[in-house]
Amino acid sequence: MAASAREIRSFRDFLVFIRAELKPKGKLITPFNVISAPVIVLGIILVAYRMVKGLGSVTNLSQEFPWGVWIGFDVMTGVAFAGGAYVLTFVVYMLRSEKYHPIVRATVLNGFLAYVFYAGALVIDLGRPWHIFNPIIGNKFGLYSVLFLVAWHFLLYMTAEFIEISPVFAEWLGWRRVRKILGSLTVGAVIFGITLSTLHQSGLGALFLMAKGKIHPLWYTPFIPILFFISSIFGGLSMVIFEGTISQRVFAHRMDNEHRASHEDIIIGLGKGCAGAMLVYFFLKVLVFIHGKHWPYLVTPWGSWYLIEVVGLVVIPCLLFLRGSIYRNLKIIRVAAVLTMIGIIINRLNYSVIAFKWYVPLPEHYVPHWMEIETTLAIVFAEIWVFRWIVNRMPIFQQPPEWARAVEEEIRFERRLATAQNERPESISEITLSGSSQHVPANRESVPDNP
Amino acid sequence: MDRRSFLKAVSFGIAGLTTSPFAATKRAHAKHSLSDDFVAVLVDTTRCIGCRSCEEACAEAHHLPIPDVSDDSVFEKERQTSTSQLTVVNRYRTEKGEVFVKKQCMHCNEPACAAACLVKAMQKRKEGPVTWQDNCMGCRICMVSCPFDIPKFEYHSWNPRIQKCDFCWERLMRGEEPACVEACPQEALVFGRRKELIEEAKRRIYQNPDKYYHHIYGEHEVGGTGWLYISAVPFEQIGFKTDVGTTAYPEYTKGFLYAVPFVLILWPAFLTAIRSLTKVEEE
Amino acid sequence: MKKKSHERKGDDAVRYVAVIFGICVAILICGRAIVVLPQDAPEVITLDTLSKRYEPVTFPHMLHVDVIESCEECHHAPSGEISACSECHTTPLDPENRSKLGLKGAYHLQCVGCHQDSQSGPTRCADCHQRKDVKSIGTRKLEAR
Repeated sequence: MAASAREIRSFRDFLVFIRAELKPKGKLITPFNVISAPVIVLGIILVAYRMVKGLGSVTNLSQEFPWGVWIGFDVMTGVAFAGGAYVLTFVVYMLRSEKYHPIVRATVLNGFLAYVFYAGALVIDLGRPWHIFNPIIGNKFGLYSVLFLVAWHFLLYMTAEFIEISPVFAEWLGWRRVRKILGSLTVGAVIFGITLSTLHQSGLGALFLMAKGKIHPLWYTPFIPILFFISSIFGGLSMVIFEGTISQRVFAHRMDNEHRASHEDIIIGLGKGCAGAMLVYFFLKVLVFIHGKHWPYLVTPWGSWYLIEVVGLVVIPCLLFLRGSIYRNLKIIRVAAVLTMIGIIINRLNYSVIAFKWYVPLPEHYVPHWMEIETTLAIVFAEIWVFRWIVNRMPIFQQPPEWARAVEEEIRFERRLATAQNERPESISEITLSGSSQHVPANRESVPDNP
Repeated sequence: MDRRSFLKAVSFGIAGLTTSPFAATKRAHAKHSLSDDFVAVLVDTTRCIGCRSCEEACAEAHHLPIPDVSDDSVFEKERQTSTSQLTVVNRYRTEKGEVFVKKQCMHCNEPACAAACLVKAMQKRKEGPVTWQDNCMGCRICMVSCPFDIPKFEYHSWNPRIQKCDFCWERLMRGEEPACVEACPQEALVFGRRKELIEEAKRRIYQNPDKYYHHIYGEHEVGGTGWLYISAVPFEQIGFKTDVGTTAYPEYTKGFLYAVPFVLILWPAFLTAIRSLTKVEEE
Repeated sequence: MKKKSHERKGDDAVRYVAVIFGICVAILICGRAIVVLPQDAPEVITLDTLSKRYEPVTFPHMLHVDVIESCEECHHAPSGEISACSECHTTPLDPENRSKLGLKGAYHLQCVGCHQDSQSGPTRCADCHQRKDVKSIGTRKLEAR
């Protein structure tokens, strides 16, 4: 492993290190690379063209349909899928479930990268991207705007996610003190992150509240924000299942035994979680349906489309998740995850382009330009490239290095000490480092070798 | 419970509070009494003859290409406003003959676009008009939110603007009437304070009950608009959306915005509590 | 020589008749000056008080006199007076009295309205007045509130 990571003492060392890390690990000519590289390059060209010639040059957006695939899929669906991060950190750090600990880093990394890349997609969708700083610097603060809230929460959430994932970078660079500081911030960042996620996942739905009359009544409801929030739970977890399944194969060489062994239990557990959330979601949908007296719509074509989405892509995967987790059948769970993800995509697209202006006949309805789809693919591939680069160099699917685990112990020790000092001063002497045979002083600079 | 993490959690929550729109609470009710004084225009569609002088005058006042008003073929299709035409006149065939209707931004009392805009590029001025400013990011949420689908986006510009009627804001500041009002030969457009114009509209309907349909469009629609219409026929026959309701559109987001400060405070508290409750004491 | 009495009576008679005749003529002349008859109407009126965007209108008044029976069809002043439109309809319109049209509205609603109702006569802008080459649009100041 990169023993040289341990000795970065100067900027020159840092450059040497980065240069070494930039070298590709693994084969350059793989089917994935061969397909994704030209897509990414073309995507960059198309984005440059869009910057010069305006949005209309690479999209099919129109005065009737101001939002298209870049918002409906990249931003909205992408953010829903990134919801696995806040759900999983809730389970691991709030409910203290060690069962899911092995996949936290991968999930948080994916969440962080997703937000970064989909914020990027948002930037190219803006008419004046350089003005994206306006709501941040106060030119001006649109305080009554839901989007203002969503924008700020995106920014703050990316910061929180970065703090959550940054211990990984500190481990990669071998920066012990930084690793300790960042490690102690994790819980706070998680709490912040879950709070922010609740608000911006629902906030993305709230963006449509003023599009009353433009969104088909089967989808429009004052409860859109709650529906978006709940669906982000099982959407995010389904993505974790999907991504975890692929990683098991593709990144097997970077996984330690603990990761490999825990995979099955984790997938089954996540399947149960999805099933539960989907049951809740389904009941909410039924409630909204009955409250709105939407029965007459069911016999229309739009009613059939609604049933496909709710029954075919929510109820059926929910039942499949239940079955798969009861019978411990990973395959069924994976199929359910894919169906669920398709359902989320369709749901978000319904709100933004399909059931939006549903009364506009199909020939004039928005259909994405191939360039929009191409750039979307380029963004997804680019994110996978970055994810792969990080996984191949940093402890994502493995235990952190010994010294990092020691740092975590120190953090825990100091916390217990602080609590004891507050609560039971007389029992300080009883506190020892649990399970550790090594005594690691708090201010030691050198670190043991990585096993 | 660990004091440090509790304090951290609560301080994160309070830090988050500073971005919450508590200001939303004092917004809504003040406007209703202010709206009497907003500038407004009364459009009497029984007087409009479709001469399109208003379209010409608007184009001239805004340095946009001047439409050829002698070409009547434009009336064959219902037109929308565009990035180069901030107002258009449409023709409708009704039981009472041809009716011409001028279409432009309605300058709502409580505009959806201004509430939706995260940088206050769309702004309701205190005099009444709703105008667009240059700090716009081009996110187009105003287009998604407007019940009348008015804002139009310059998709083919690298530095796009949103184009819509601005109530001739600059002329108003110089003490002049909107260009379209001044140009109208039939006095189909009358400019004044909203309250007076509603009274004038009611007077016209009252004095000519057979001539007019008994409704002023814009008096209550979406909480009231600055452009008021009276007509000889029901409004759905002349291209108006009659299902927009009387609720001001920003009200629809109120529930969500009010929930924000509660989530920002309660969530960190609950989460910290859960974490502390699930703590396994180590000895 | 002194006039005979019958000659004096004849002089009186002539005098009376002349006075009566004179009074009648006076009445006729004065009355005629007051009463307006169609043949008095001007042949053509040039309406040019509002010409910023368009050239002045050449209004064939006599043509309308021949076609329309009574003057009151157009000259609808409640006092019965036959006067020009601009006597009552101001420009700009009076914001205190919105029920009275401004001059431009009065012209157009009266003229074009009747043309539309009777389905004869020009109804398009260009039918009556030519476009000026418009570089700057004249403006009407808002009433100070």
